[in-house]
Order: sequence, then C-alpha cells, then structure tokens
Amino acid sequence: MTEELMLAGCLKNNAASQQALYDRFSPRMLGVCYRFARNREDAEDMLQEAFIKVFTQIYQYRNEGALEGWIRKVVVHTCINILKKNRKFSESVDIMFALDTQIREENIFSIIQAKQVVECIRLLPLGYRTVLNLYAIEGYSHREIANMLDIEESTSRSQYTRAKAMLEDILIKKRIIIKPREKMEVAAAAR
Amino acid sequence: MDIRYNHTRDFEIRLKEKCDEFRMYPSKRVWYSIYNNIHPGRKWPSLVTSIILIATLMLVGYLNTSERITSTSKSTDQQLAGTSPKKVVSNNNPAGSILSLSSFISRPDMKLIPTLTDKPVTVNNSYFTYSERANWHDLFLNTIDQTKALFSPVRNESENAEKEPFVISNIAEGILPIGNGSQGENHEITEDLSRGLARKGSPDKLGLQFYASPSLVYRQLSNNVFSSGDARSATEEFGKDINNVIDHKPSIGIEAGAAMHYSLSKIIKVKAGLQFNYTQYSVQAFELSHPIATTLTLNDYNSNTSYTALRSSPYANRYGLYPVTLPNKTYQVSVPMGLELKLAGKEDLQWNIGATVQPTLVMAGSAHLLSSDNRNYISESSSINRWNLNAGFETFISYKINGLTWQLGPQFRYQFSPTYNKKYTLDEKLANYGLKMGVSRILE
Repeated sequence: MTEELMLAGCLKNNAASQQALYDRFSPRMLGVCYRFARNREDAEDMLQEAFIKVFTQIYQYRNEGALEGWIRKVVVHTCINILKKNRKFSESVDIMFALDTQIREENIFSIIQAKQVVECIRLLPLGYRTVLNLYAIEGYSHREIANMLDIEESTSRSQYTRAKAMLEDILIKKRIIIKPREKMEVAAAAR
Repeated sequence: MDIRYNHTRDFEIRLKEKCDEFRMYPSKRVWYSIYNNIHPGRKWPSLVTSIILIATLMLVGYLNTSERITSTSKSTDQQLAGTSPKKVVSNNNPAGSILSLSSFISRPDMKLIPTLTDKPVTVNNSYFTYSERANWHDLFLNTIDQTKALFSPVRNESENAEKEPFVISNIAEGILPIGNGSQGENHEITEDLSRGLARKGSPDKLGLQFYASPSLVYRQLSNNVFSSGDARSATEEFGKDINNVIDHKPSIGIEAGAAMHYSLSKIIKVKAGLQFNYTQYSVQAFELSHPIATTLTLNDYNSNTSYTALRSSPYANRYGLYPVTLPNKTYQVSVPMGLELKLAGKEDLQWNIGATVQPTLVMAGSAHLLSSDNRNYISESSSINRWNLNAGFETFISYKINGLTWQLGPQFRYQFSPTYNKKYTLDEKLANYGLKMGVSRILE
C-alpha cells in the first residue's frame, strides 16, 4: 500500500489503512521512543499514546514534508510530554545522577551496531539523554528544546555539552569509537 | 563501527545515522490497545458473542418458565370456571377449596344452568345474577352432605326491589356465594386468587445474582523444558525448587460479575453468567542502572528441543541498584457455568455449595519472565496465553430478607492451563483464595 493510499484510508478512519501505516512506521518509532524511555515497556506505552494521537490528528498533516517526519514529530512530542509528567529536567538532579552512574563494561552486549549506539545513549542520565536526543538526533534547536522542556536555553546548551562529552567517553570505553591520537598510534604500530 | 572523533558536526551526523538505523518491533498488545482506543465500538467481538450466547440461554430458560406458568393458569382457569370476580365472598372456605367444589344447591326450584355468563338463575321468581364467568355446571357436579350458600339477589324484576337474601342450607366446600357477606364467616378473596392458584405448585425458578469476590492470588511454577542439556542452568546449579529461587508474593485480585440461576429442583440450581477477573501477584526484583543482555530459554516443538533467545533486561533477581516490585497481572473475562447444591437449611437461611467451570479470555496483562540463568527478569507480555480454563469452588450461607437473598462464603478458583504459552519453559498456574459476597433475586 502506498503512502497516499494509507493516508487516504486513515483520513476515513479505515482500520486496514491504519494498521498498514502502523506496521510500516512503528519499528523505527519504537526505536525513537526507546531512546527516551527508561525501559521497553515505557517505550511501548509512549508509542501507543503517540500513534493514538497520529490517527486522531492525521487530518492536521498538510503534505508539507514526508509523512514519516510528521509522525516522528508527534512521537517525539509525546515522549517529551510523558517524561515531563514524571520528572523535571533540572541540571542539579542530572549531575547527581551522573555521578552515580556506573557502567558495567562486561554486561553491554549487542549484535547490531545501531543498537550499541542506542544502548550507550540510554546509559546517560535522563536530562542529558533527552537534550542529546532532541538536538543531535532529532534536529531541534536549543531554543526549541528550552521551550519544550521548560528550561533555559543556556541550560540546554550546557546539558548538551556535558551529554556529548559523556557519550563520547562511553563510546570510547566500549571501543565503538577511536580517538584520533589513538588511531594514529595504532597505525604507527602496525607499520 | 568507526565514528571519527571530530569536533565538528560530523559526530552528530554519524550519531543520527546510526540511531535512524535502529529498529524495535513492538508487541501485539500495543496495536490492540491503539485499535481499541480509536475504534471503541468494535472491541472485544468474542466478548459480544459470548454475551449473545448467554443472553440466548437465559431467554430460553425464561420463556420456558413463562410458558409453564401460562399453561397452568389456563388449566386452572378452566377448573375454576370463572372464579375471578371482582369480589367473591366465601363462607368460611379457603381459597384453595375453589378447586374442590362438591355440592349442589338442593332447592328444587333452582334451575341448573350449565354455563352461565349473564344468565340469571331464578329462585322464587327472583332473578339472581352471579359472576359473569361462573360455571354452574361445574359448581353442581360434585356433592357433599352439608352445604351452605348465601346468595344475595342483585335485582328483582317483578318487584324492582331487592329481595331479602336467600340462604341455601347446604353449601359445597368450594362454592363461593356471591353476596354481601352478611352471614357466617366470610373471607374476601381478591381478584388475584386465580393467579395465585395458578402459581401454586410452580415456584419461581429463575433468579439473577450479582457478586464480587476479592481474593489473594498465588502462583505455582514448574519446569516445562524439553532437554536437560539446555535446561535452565541455574536450576541445576542451585539445585532447588524454582519456586524457592525467586521472591514472589501473592497480591489482591478480584472477581466480579452477574449470573442467572435456574432451579432444577428444590436443592439443585444450574447457573451461568459473566465474570470479570483481575489477577495479580508481585515479584521482588532489583532495577539495574542500565539494561543488560541476557537469554531466555524457549521450547521448539518442531524439533522437540529447547533453545535460548537473546533478550535485554533492566531487572535482576537478586542484586541491583535498588529494589523494585514487578507486578504480573492479567485482566480476564470468563463465563462461569455450573451448579449450586443446597446442603441444609430452610427457605430463609441455607447452606449451599457450588462449582463452576469458567472458560476465560485474557484481554490484557503484564508478565515478567525469568531468564535462562534465573538472574534477570524479562518483560514479555506477549507470552501470556489468550485463552484459559478455570474452575471455581465455593460454599456459602444465604439469607433471604425482603425479597433479596444475600450470600457470603469462601471461594477457591484454580487455573488449569498455564498462564504463558507453551514456548516458555516455565509453567505458571494461579490459584485464588477469596471471599465471595453476592445478592440475588428471583425474577417473577
């Protein structure tokens, strides 16, 4: 079923079209939710609520941009709203949490590289993780992030800087990324 | 993967690329929940079908009961031969004796009229009108030695005045003289006499009951694995019963519903109804700082062996960041069908026992499964069996007051089929111990 047919069917509240749209986009969208959520169950709850909004507000899609982009926007906003219900994004809380975070190198295991990266992102404290997801992956500006999370724009910038540094540190420890100096040393040793 | 460590936007670009490649496949319950939310009129078609079937059964039972009452009324009406006047005065005779009419009026000048609607009986040239439906033929069929009757003339055509009451010396046991009741002991019998007689010998059989039963839900685990080589390693390692390896506690559940019961006899009733169930028990675990990779042992029925599947788990069985309680719960609809037996007591106060078989539909639930090494919990609600079979056993005291029958007593409900599908290598059976409270009423 093409996107146009799916969209037309969803506008008529046709169940088959809705299921086709859900089957096409839910795997990727669940991946988006998983980066924001604490666990898989919470991610599925976010996905459920997001798709209910998608189907009930599908008439708001104006064919401006790809359908997937619009759905992704709805999903991200739904995730943020759910997170905001449960906790506030304060800098102090995240710092305290960040200090307590321990990474067990021997327990991180995944076959697919994308999953490796996502799991590393999920190691970050909630506030850092959310800002990093929104800025680096979803492409929102710091001003937009500040409005969504009810924080200052400067807080968003500082949280992102710290999040990026922490994530790089994790990725290096996991040997997922290699520092340039280290790479040069390895190349030199090989010669 | 080799993300170049770069202070420019390359890091974000590569990060986004990798994250966009990531896919996760949601469980089926997510789609069911979305569907039911956006199509509320179409949910639970199997439940609607069950309701229709039960309603059909109840209607058939009710109609059967109504037909018997109607046919009994007709035959009684024929016997009574029109004994439903507005007001009938009996001379010291109970209502039931209408059926045993056994006398005749001995006055020779009385005319015997086989059937009478408005036809008068002449006595001494006076006209007496009786109940429009009185059937004198029946009234005078049977005779007894001593009869009394009291007839009051309604009018006298010749003199256009009321005559004095005419007294018949002998009256049948069941003759109902029509008059002002000025002689003897008279008992007024109201117009619902025939209805009451029609009811006699046909007690109300159909009843409606509402009930609720809060209960404690216990579970029992047992192994269901094919080959010992792939068996749950921790079981062999610990060498203990699986129920002792984990920390689980019963929680409060509830069953509530409505049922119709039909009396086969004075001591046995059959019943069928619709019941909603909520089961829950708690598993004590520990949350980890991040999910870890683990494995889940599953059965392969094609090759009759077991294998391990990769999963991630944020919960540990014994050690972790902080304790957490994981609820394992189900929301069910069942159709209890069974019998009730009266053990002792009279109409108002009774002691009964009952048993039902309950085909059950599990509509939703959450499940946390134990990993292969028994060290972690994996959230996998899709493993819950959709259909199950339960049995209920109960004993209760019932007390009838003001037309309602109140019931109270213990109840035990047992689940026959495992909670999870047969791929999972642990079988779980639930048992509920509760207190059932109900109220029922006979439907007239």
